[in-house]
Amino acid sequence: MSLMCTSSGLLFRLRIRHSDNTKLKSLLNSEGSLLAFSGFPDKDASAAGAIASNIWTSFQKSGQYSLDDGKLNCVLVECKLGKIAITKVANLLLCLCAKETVSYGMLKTKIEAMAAYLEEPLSQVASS
Amino acid sequence: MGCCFSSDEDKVETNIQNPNERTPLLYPQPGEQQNQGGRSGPIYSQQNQTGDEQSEFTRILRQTAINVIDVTSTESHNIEQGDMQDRATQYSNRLNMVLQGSGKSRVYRPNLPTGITSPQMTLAAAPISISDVQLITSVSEKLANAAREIKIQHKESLVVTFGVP
Amino acid sequence: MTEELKTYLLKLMGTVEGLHAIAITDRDGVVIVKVTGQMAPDPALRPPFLSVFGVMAEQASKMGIGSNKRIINYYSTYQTVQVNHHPLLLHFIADKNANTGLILELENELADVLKEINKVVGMM
Repeated sequence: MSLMCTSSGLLFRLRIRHSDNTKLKSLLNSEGSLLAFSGFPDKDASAAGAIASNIWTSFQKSGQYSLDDGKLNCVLVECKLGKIAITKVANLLLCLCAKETVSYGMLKTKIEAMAAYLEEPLSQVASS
Repeated sequence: MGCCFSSDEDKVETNIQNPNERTPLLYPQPGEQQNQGGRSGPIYSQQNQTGDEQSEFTRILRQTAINVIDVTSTESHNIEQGDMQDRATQYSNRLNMVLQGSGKSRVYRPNLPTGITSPQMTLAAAPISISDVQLITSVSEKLANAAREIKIQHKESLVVTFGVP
Repeated sequence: MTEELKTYLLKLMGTVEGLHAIAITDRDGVVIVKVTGQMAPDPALRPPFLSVFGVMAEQASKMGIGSNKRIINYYSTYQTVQVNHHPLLLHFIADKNANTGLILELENELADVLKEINKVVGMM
């Protein structure tokens, strides 16, 4: 028997409360391929996903060497026109893109909430 | 490390093995520049006098170099350990020079919080009331609690089984 | 003269609880000036760690949301706040529980200092 994520369910989850300035939510595998994303259709989503994944991997590696084997929990990236949060869920990366006006605290809180919510279903899928 | 200003054709291959932010992006060899991890920030373009075609060409090259996303170079391997040391020493000398050059032994002081134009007034004013302090503490505590409780409402199961044998 | 600057940086560092180190480097992670507390993780103040931000800031600038300004990382014991202040990079290394907002605020406090250090890199 296999398990799969209902993509509509997942996308529905990813789409939750788009009223909040969080423009785009995406799930990536560790190589940076886009598994699911919701938000405005955007051709940049896959490129941005690959970059986000690379940023995560690089900082994770350098943290391992230089910060007492520290595990990376969350990355917040601020650019001129927006902010991005990245975190790990099961063996996947969750990435939120927000407007530049969204505060760091709110972005971090939201990505943590989403990660906690998605952890169980995604680990189920990952382990099946 | 090689210098890309060299006009020696044979060396080009080896030069681009170690691109750094000072490697010129304008070498007139289209295929050669694909590996450039051009650093963002101001790009220093060479003065080009040879006409529109040439400048258009360099513009395209530069744009391509900017657009290329090089995910392989997670660390700047371009710089040798020794060069790093040299540069660090140079920096510390120059820093000394600049600080001395700026004249008058400067005493750095933390800035006053914004909005305080006359510190003496602020300092002479009566301290804020204990109830205000309590209000601030209780509100910030409530906010912290609210933030901790942000979570997603569960509506439907995300995982379904399929392909039952 | 550099000593005065370091004293000031140490003073600033002391204003944020849990802040272990401040480093100002060029884009390649070569240290121009740094101050560290006793708790600072030493390897994190060397170029192999500090150089990563420069490369990542450059990549993040290609995500289609403008040029990169800051990257904040939360690790299991530390947090790093790194600011792209062209042509300089600022690195703050702090305890994971330190107040990130206060650390970000230090960038403003450093504005004068950064103006002077800008000249150092400009000379190269």
